[in-house]
Amino acid sequence: MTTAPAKMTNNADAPLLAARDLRVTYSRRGGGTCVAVDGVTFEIARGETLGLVGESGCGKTSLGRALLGLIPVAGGNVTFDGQPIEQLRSTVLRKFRRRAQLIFQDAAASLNPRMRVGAIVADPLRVHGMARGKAARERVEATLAQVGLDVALINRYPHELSGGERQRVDIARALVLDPEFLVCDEPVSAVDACTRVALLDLLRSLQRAHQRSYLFITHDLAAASRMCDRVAVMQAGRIVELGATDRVLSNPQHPCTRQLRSAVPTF
Amino acid sequence: MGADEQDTQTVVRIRDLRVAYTGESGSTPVLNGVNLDLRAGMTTALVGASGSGKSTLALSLMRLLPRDVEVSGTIERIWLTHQANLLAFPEWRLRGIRGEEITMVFQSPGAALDPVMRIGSQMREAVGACSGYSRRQMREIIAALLADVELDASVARAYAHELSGGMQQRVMIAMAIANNPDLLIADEPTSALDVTVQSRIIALLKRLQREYGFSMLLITHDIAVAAQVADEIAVMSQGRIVECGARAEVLEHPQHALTRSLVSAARALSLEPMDKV
Repeated sequence: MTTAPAKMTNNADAPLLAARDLRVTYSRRGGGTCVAVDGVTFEIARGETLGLVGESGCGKTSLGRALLGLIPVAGGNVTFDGQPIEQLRSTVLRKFRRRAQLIFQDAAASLNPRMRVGAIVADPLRVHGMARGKAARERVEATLAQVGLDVALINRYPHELSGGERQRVDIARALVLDPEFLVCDEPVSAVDACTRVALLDLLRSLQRAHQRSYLFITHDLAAASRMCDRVAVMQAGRIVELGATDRVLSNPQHPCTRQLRSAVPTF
Repeated sequence: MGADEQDTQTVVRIRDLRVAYTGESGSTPVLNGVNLDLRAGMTTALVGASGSGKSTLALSLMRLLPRDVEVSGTIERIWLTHQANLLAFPEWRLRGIRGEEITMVFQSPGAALDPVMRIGSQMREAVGACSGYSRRQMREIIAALLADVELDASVARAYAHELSGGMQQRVMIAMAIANNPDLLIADEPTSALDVTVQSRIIALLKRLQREYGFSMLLITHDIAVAAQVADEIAVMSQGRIVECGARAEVLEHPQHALTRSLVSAARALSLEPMDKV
């Protein structure tokens, strides 16, 4: 188990992340299992944004969490930079966690209400032992600036911020470790349209500037069209369609994709 | 269209409505002189950013504002033959208005529904627990209301947590139409739902409006939602209505800077109509 090399390989041509026949199940109260992710296979290249689109309950969030090793998988595997993540232990696992981060849908719920913005964004640095004191503070300030937040907000509590600002704090917390891979789980669903456009453009520019890879989870094909190189459409735990964003939007093949497509307001 | 519009009866007329929340640090004005007419059978969308005063306006209409507020202006409720200022009504007279003539659908149905009461019992309260219906009649009324919002009659026996967000919102809508209201206020009814469910709920509200004939005040931050349903759009900013007019007029010739930015954000988040399905 611990035979894995301490340093991960860095093969630029290989996909950064690959899921093969991935399954996630939950046990039901009173027996039986619920299959949330039902045999899913795909790859995400370095610097690529893959959209994961589907109705609520189709398994998007479970899939995103399984990719990060946050919930156990029932079958199949995930490899990150050539390494199966379920075999990662101790220091290599911690390193993986640093390289792969999650942005939550509801920042109001995912930010600790009793911590100030500065402490929230500095927390990952402390956990991973990457910076302390003045160095940590400088890094936090730089990250806040990167996500377009006024550094003066550093001493505020989450409830003192607007929804858009809170979401930016959540993004800053994920970015402070300079990860290579981000799962963005509906990062803009809880904010109004003007803020949504601004946040999407921010996420896109941060991705391009650092050649990061994203899994962008959303129920909104319009948001996906603004963000993603390729789109995977998920229904009942399976990926029913996967292709370049332009192709999927202009020529949807699966009925589920067409339904999602027609739900987007034409304005 | 112009002649029709003049003939349409106004059900609520709001004039110079001012609301300020008072606290230790003085009073904070939230509504700064709102004028708005709501007409029978029509949908008015109230669009604005969070904090602009949209929900305070809705709560004023229901007279559900907290105690520590200063209110001035008038909210005239207009019936066929007479009219009266709701703000001057004593509490007991509001009973016949709230939940009967003016009803409301909230943003998060999960929070608005009682978690430990079956859906049927909650609907019974909405229909009127003391309305004198027999158990059997009540069951039939509830089944009919559920059918109206495209839910199975068995939903009456479920608890809120057993339903999806879309189904919960349908239950809320069923309760809101139970007493055949004159005005239905929908406060961000679809903001917590995913896009496909969103468009179905909007279509449902529209169909029910045609069948029941209520006028609707739709509160939303998303002008794309307003564009789908509203006859009139009122744009709100800092407690004032900065622009109000027929839907097409507001969307195609937005006058105020805020309206223009809302319209351009909505355009950025829409897709071209599909040519090929």
